[in-house]
Amino acid sequence: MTSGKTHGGPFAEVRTLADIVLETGCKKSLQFLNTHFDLCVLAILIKSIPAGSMVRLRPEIVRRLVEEVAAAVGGGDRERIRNALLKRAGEMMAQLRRELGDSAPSEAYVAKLAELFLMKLEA
Amino acid sequence: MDKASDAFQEGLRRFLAEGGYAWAERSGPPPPGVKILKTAHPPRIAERLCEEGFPLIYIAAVRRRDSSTPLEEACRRGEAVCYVYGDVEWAPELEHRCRPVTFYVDVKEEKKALEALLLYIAKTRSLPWVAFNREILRIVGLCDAAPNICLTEEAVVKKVEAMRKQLTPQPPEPPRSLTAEDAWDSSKTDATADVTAEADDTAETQKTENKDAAAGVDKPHTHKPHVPAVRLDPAVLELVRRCCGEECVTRLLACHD
Repeated sequence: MTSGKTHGGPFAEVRTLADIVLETGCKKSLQFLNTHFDLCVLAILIKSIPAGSMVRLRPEIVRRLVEEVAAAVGGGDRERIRNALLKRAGEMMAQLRRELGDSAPSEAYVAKLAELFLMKLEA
Repeated sequence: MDKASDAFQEGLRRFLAEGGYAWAERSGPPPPGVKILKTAHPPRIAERLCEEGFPLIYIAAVRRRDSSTPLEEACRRGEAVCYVYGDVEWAPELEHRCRPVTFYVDVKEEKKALEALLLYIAKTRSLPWVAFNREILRIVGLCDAAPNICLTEEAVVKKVEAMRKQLTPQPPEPPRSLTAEDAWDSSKTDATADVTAEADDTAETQKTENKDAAAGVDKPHTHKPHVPAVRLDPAVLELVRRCCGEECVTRLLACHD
C-alpha cells in the first residue's frame, strides 16, 4: 500500500468479468460484437493492462487481443473488424488521457475503465 | 530509512478527525476480520516499498458489542465485527521487513460509517466498486443503487448469454433489410462503433419504409389531397406577396406543389 505505486490485486475481479465478456460474447458472435462494440473494446483494454506493479495500458497487448477477437469472429471480414477495434481502442485511450491527464496514477486508468465497462454492461 | 508517514496516512488522519470518528493508531498488523477488498495485493508487492521505508497502512472499522472493551482488544477477542482494509495482504514473512500501522476506527452507525469509509478508500486509492467485497457493498446499499457492481461471475455469464439470445433473430420476424453483419459489410474501411449506430438508424428507416410500402399494397387505394413535403412559412409568403406581388406568390405555390 503506502505510496500508490502498486496495483493489480484489487482489479482481479474486473479482469475476470472482462474475460467472460470477451470469451462468451465478443469472440462468439459477430452480432454481439457489433451491437456491444464499446463493451468489447473496453474488455480488450482492461485485459491489456498487465497485473502487477506497473499498471499501464499496453498497446502491443491491445493489438494481440484485437487479433484474437477478429480471428475468432471475423471470417472474411477479419481485417475490417481488426481496424475498427483498433481505431475505437485508440479513441478510448486518447479520451482517458484527456480526462485523467498523463500524470494521473495508473490505477485511476483501470478504475475509469472498470467504471465505463460496468456502465456498458448495464446498458 | 524511516519515513514518518506517507500521504495516505496523513490524509486518513485528517479524514477521521474531520468525520468526528474515535480512532486509535497502533503499530502492528491488522486484526482478523471481514475483508473490505475482494483481493488485496500479494505480500511480495510490498517488499520494495517496505525497504524504501513506507509503512503498510491498514484500517479496522470496529463495531463493538461492548463499548467498554478497547477497540484493538475487541477485534482480537472476537467481541466485535471488524471490517479490515489494506492494499497488501498481511503475511508473517512481512513482519521483519515492513512497518505495519493499523487504524482502529470506532464504528457506531455501521452503514453510515462504512459508506463514508468506502467512498474515501475508493477515491484515494482509485478503486472501482467492483474491487470491494460484495457483502460490504450490500450493507451500505450500493448493490441496490448500482446492481452491476455486485454481479457475481456466474451472473455476468448469464447476462452475456441473455444479450446473445436477445440478438439472435427470431424466425417469424419479417425479413430485415439490414442485419448487424451487413453493417460490417456496408461499412467503409474505417468501420467504427458509429457505423453500428448509423446502421441501426438505416435499418430502422428502411424497416419503416418497407412497412409503409407493404401498407400501400394491402390497403385499398384511397385518394388523399396532395401535401407538399415542406410547408411554406405564411410569414415568408406574406413577405413575397409584399415585395414581389400576388403573381409571385401564385407561381411560388405552383412551383412548390
